[in-house]
Amino acid sequence: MYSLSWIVLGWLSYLSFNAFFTRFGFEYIIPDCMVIVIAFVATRRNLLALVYVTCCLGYIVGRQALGPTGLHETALTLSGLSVYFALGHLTVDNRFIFGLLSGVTVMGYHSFLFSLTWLFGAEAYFSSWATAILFPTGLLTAAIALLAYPLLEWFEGLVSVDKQEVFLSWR
Amino acid sequence: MKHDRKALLGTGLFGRYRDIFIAFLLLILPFLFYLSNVKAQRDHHFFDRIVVWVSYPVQWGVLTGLDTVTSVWDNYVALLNVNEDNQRLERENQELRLEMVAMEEYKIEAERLRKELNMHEALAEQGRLTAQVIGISPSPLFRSIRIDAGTMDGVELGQAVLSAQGLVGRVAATSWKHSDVMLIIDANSSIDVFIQRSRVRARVRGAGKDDNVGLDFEYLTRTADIEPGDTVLASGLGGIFPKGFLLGRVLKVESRAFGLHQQAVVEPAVDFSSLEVVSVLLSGAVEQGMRASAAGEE
Repeated sequence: MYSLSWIVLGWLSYLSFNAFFTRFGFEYIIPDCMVIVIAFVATRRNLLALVYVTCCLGYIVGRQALGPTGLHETALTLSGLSVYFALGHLTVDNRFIFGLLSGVTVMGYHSFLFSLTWLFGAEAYFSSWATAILFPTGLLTAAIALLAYPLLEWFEGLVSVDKQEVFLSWR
Repeated sequence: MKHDRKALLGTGLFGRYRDIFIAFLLLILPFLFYLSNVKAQRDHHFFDRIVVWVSYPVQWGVLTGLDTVTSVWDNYVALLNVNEDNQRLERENQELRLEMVAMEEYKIEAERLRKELNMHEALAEQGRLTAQVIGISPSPLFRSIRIDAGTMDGVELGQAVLSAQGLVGRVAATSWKHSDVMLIIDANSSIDVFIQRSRVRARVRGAGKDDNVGLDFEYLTRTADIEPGDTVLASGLGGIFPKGFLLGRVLKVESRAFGLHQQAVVEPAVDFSSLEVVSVLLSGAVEQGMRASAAGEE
């Protein structure tokens, strides 16, 4: 239920932002809400929930991006796991650090996408255009993550029924 | 509860590293899927279509909400100084009426030319479905858009998608009420074209590069007559895109001192970042258009 809640939240926010930026976007710069959700789940130190969420959201975003099945799932899972293992046992409870983390994760995600396509796929171009929008996309995602952090904490409070147990459990 | 589960799983190697093992599995499985799918382009299957179908109400709701807000703004809030605008428009209207008389002459000429070509009329008579753009690809590596027309509306794989500005792309995946369109600037898109001025034929491929500079000529011989500013049209070969439809203009031509080919870049006629409405040419439209064109030539 915990993972499903994050999947639904990631899906809905992704669809809403994508629709909004389809009308009012500037040169394909879209904040990646899925990455924000994944970065948040990764900071919660729940490995299984993280991989469930990354796989499902990767599948959903892959259907919109017209990529081959498995590409976005793998890239998003790699990004989530990178955040998970890079943080180690550090706790992220500062919205600014979380924003920064989300921005960096977006760039990592796109790098993973490019690497996988370039190494195993047909033709891949990490063009000047793609490079140029990567930083603004990361920056915009970081800004949205910064604003959304309290909401994500509130949402976590709603869906974490066994919060107490998680904190006491062995890892 | 936790202890019971742990007891069931045991304290062996699997029990201890269970989470890591599952995480590794969920990383490897999609990767294997990717490796098996990487070369093959395929349509949406049943689960894909379910995902797309469930997504639509949210996208539609957001877009409808945005359009309503924009409409309210345009129709009520932004109506300040409307009286002054009205008087100005009255004056413009008078001037335009005079221009219209002159344009009537051009219209007669245009009608005659259209009859000679015949093709565009045939295309208009055939199934041309108007669809709204409801989403764009979130990944810069894949250049696609999602439209709100699918198999239930008659959309099929490979059909050409156009806009008033020119060629947009072709349908690459379909769902019941939605389709994904691969843009002509996608790296996997390749189209047979000709230069309007010199009638030189060539192929252009999406470079997946910058937004408005997105097509490269392939295998363009050194002797081909091509200049910056030349209009590039679809040749109709392949039966996907109708002959004579605008693709873009030649932006630059580079001839090296050696080699068999010259390099040229095409600027697409369509501004893909601001697409809102497109037309899908339904099955048979291109073929009938070609036949009508051939009949017109005879």
